[in-house]
Amino acid sequence: MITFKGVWQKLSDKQYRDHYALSLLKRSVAFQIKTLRKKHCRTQAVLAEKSELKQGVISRAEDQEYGNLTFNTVGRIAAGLDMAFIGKFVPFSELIRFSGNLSEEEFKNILTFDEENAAQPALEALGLFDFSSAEEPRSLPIGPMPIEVDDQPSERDTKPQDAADAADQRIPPRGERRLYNVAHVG
Amino acid sequence: MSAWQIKAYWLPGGTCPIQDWYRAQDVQVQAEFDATLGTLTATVDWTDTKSFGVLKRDHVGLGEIRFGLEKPEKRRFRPVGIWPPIAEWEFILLAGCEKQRNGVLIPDNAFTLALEYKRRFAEGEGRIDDYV
Repeated sequence: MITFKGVWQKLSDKQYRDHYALSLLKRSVAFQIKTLRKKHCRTQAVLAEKSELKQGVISRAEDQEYGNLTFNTVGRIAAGLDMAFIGKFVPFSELIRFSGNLSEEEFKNILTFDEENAAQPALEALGLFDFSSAEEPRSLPIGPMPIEVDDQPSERDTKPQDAADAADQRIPPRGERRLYNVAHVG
Repeated sequence: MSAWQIKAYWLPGGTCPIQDWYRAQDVQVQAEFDATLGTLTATVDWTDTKSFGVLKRDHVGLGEIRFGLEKPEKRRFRPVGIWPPIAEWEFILLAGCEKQRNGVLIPDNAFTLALEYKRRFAEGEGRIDDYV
């Protein structure tokens, strides 16, 4: 079994880790695009049309050996899928975890904007989405990860809600937690 | 969680051909192979990815993992294993090789040897273990 320690030891070689990180970046993005395309668009032609790209561009984007994908193209594919794509720098430990947890299922569970928007009322009722709050909305977990819900009644649960109250609403403080699978919401 | 488990065939004498091949490669090749395995193990249908190919004719019974390097020169590598899988969601690596532009393999008997290892494993010789 490939272990975290085993991979970490390989990463001690600078040349290895530079190449491994780059290769995994190219391959994982192509992997994601293909997985999402099969789930949401079935064919490359459909995704191409939605992304306002040529089908050949989608084909290259799904090719793990192709290394010249631009940010613009990835952004347009994300738009075609009606999702967001974020890129961020991470430590190598997170890269190992990302690689070890990579699965088609993870990306098949990513919601489009419309799906997420449709689920918003239910999520807001659970205290996870509060567009009226001045605070940053809590991140929606990706995939079948458990989400935490505050079980303790708060003022929001006992007082009638109206426009005047809406501005003062806050996400309830953490108390006793129950875990819900996000797939069951909505 | 990965869909596939990668195994390696070990000869009765205690050597592992795929590991020996891997260790003989430079780090760029090793890194590319590891990254390829990383995404392959997450892929459900290996017959629907360019990173894998089912061999035919003289080499029926084998499947090759396909990856390559572009710099400093274009190179293609084709480690092979047993296909179709003996156990569900388990791919057994047998041997490794490089494929030159003219189709010549390095080593040139890589696929023949792989078929030999497959036969010996089927007859109870050697063992398989997790590929690391």
